[in-house]
Amino acid sequence: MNRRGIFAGLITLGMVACSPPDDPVPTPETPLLVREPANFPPLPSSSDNPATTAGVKLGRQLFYDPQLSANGKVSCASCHDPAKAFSDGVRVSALGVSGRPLLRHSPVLMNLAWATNGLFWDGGSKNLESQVLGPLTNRDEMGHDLVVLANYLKTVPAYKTQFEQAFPGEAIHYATIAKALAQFQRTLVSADSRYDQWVRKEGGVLSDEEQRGHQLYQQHCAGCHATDLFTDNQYHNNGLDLVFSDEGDGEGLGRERVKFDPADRGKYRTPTLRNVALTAPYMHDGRMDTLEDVLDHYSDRIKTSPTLDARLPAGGFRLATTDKKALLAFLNTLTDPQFVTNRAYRP
Amino acid sequence: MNFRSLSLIVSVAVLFMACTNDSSTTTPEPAGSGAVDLKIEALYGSAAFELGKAYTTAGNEKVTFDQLRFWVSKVELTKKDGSVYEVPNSYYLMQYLGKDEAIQDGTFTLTAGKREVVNLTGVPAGEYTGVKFGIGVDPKYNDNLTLAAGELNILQNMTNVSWMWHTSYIFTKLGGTVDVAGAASPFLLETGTNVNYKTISQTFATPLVVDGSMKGQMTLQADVAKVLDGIVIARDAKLNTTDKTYHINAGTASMMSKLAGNYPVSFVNAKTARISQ
Ligand code: HEC
Ligand code: HEC
Repeated sequence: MNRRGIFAGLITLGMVACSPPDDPVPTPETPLLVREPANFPPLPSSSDNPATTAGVKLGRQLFYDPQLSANGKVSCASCHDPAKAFSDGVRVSALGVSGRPLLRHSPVLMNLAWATNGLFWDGGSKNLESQVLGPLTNRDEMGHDLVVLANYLKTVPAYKTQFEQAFPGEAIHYATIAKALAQFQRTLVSADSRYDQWVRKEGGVLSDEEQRGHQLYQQHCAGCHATDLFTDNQYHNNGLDLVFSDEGDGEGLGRERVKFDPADRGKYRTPTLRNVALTAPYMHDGRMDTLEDVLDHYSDRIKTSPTLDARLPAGGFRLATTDKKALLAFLNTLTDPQFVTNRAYRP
Repeated sequence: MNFRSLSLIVSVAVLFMACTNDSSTTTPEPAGSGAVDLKIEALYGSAAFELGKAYTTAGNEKVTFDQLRFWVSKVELTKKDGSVYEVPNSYYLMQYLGKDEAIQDGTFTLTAGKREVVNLTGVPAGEYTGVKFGIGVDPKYNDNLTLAAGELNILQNMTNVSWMWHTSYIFTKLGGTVDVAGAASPFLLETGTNVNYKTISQTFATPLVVDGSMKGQMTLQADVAKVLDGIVIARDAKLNTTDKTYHINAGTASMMSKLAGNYPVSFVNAKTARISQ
């Protein structure tokens, strides 16, 4: 038994000891450990909201329930479709309750337990628990009222039982709703692509071209799309624009909007490259339709502005056609069919 | 044994120790512990602060206020020997609210009224020389809107979607109307985000003795005129053309920091008293 196994055992024991003598331990409280793939960086702790079987199950149910929206038609999954690695396939969604297009592209949801350096493209949200309250209430997303929502959930017997199991002694209210959704999202782990089976020596094979693509990735891309998470969770300007608009609430300013520092202008959090073949279109505003467009960008269309990341040469990497082909072949090895079909992530 | 497994065992041990169904084992209050009220009186200049009254600011603007709200966090009392008593779960929303405020699309109403006193109970016996607390919400709780402590609650209209882009409570709110070219225009001045969390530290002119026999009282005064020091609303706040309101908030970061910096300076005159229970 490994150390984590022992820990889980001890916790269970702790709970046995805590229960009044006649009360059997409710199994839903069993701690649920986020899978920690061998090729990933160590899993950050989420001690404020440790996952349990019941919490994750409840979070999954909430994630797919359109009753969480003001008009009963929009669920989290409307914009985060498991078949597309929890992205939505459109530049910017207009599926929210208002029908107005959003200002940014819906990102993928995976390996979020490791995303501890801010959420959203500009990192304005600090953790999954607090993030949830955004889409639930935003008029252009689910536009719901947190009091009405909690009152509704209390009237549904199945939810009542599930909340009691997941959060014994706590009321059904925004905090427990958010915690359950966060617990579920932390279990979304993608680590079974052909690349993973190759790098973990589990019998996966990469062709010569894919391996050459991997080398090119390490040379040009791994500085930001780092580690086997394929993101450093840091903020960079990857040369999309010459100028950055401060119109509206300053969404176009990137991280500057959150940090109030011009040195952060036009910087966005590095998205993962995992499952990238399934998650078009690309970038924070969904401006690029294909991976070919993305590679052309890094090859020849890098725009220089004061905050352009030093890893990117003026103009671009000037990739040969064969290099682009190899990189594309490598990016395709990051598709994880098990992740996008995993029953445990579906309603 | 490495540190990680040690801490695991310690936390599991705590888990075991923490559980008991026997209420008689709750920590007894130390003999002589007592109740202490923390009162924050708002002033404007030297007179009591009033909603709905016309004032002229140092920036020579005519203003009328309809609300003043702010979080008080992590109250600490300093004893004569320098040790500190941290009041558990001390998160309080202080407010002067002029009219009922419908929030959450009218499903929930904040009732108008004044809240300027916090009742602390079980303060250990001793002689206290000062008080310290935060204006706003400290980073641990401000970074996670689902953590529960004291009165913290996001349904108090002290955060909203635009603030959730930064994951922050609204620390302070001061609202009303200001005369701009002869017409009364609404304004709403808010602070928030971790960098604007400020602590207030005040020493009492006379130390406060807590011995259980009488109720203690700590009174501080906050001068709203000083909160607006160096700020000309019509010039420094941003006019939103949709709600026709002058705003200072996360969208006007440097003004928000200036405003947040004014709050600690506005606190004066820490006094103590003992009253019969
Ligand atoms: C109408 C579409 C829509 C709905 C509905 C929606 N989202 Fe999103 N989601 C988005 C967009 C767009 C973003 C990116 C916003 C930004 O970065 O500015 C996002 C970002 C996120 C992120 C941040 C991911 C990251 O890596 O930064 C998480 C987590 C998330 N959503 C979870 C949820 C959950 C949980 C729900 C349901 C309660 C939900 N979303 C409902 C569109 C939506
Ligand atoms: C300087 C850091 C950096 C380097 C180097 C870099 N990227 Fe990126 N990449 C980013 C950032 C930041 C974004 C998001 C930008 C945005 O949305 O505005 C991004 C976005 C992408 C996307 C879109 C993903 C999505 O889900 O929308 C792809 C694909 C991509 N990069 C591939 C690559 C490839 C291939 C390379 C190497 C040739 C590379 N990147 C090099 C930082 C970098």
